[in-house]
Amino acid sequence: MKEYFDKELGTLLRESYPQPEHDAAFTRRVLRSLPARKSLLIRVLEFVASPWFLWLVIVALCIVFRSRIMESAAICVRSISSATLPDSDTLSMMIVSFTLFAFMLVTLWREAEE
Amino acid sequence: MEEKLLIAKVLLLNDEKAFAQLVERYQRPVRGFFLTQTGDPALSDDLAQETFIRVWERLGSFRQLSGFSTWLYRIAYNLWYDEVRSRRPMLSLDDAEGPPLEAEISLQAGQRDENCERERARWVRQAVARMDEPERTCIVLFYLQEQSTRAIARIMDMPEGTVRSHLSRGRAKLKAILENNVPR
Repeated sequence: MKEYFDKELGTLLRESYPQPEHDAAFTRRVLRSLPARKSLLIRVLEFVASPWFLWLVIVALCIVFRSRIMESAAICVRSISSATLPDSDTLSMMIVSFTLFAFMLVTLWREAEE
Repeated sequence: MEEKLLIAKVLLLNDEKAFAQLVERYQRPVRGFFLTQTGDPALSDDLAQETFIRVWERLGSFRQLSGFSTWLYRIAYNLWYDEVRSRRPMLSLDDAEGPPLEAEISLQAGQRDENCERERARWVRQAVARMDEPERTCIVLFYLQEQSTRAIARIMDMPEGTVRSHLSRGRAKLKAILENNVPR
């Protein structure tokens, strides 16, 4: 009897599995069954409600208040080096900045995971 | 038309004609993937249809980190994985039961060569059907769908080294099943 496995595995598998022919009716069937896609307005609203919108707002705020943030950071560094507590305004500014920064990182991380 | 342009048209304009071109381009490999896995043409077409519907719905989440075909296969694989988990046992292309691998093949003298090819194909399909799930899918994607190990790793969401192990084990198992059971 002819040798069964005298061929390369890929060839053997390809010969053993008939692949379907191109079927135009399949494409028509898919097109008929497509659900309606969301309109641009709905997509914009969804984006506004998503964490990404908040992310963009935070980035914009950071850019607008960059000099204030840098100033507060400098005060904080000075306070740490002199072992004193910065004033409450500076402290709250830094806490808010760090919280928002952490939120941005978490958003990016979760998105990357998905 | 270039693939990226088609995707952009679908995304921005909800262009069904552009989507139809994508379906035309990828329907054979996707239907082939499911046909290899299920052995049932009707079921494989249903699953392929569901895959393209998901592509239509989720195209916005396609980040172009991988190629479109890899992303498409990932959707198809996830669909198949859900299907396997939900209910269906593996079916062979000919018959879910089929004769046991140890059975003898008796051939008429004149038909021997012609039947030999057909029988061999049947044994190969049954051997693949008997493989464990991740190994079988790796073998199918690598040899029949001609995907790279890197693409398979993305499709199946596992490290590339694991894909190589599955391929290696799959090849060894396939060889063992075929050599031990098919009469020569």
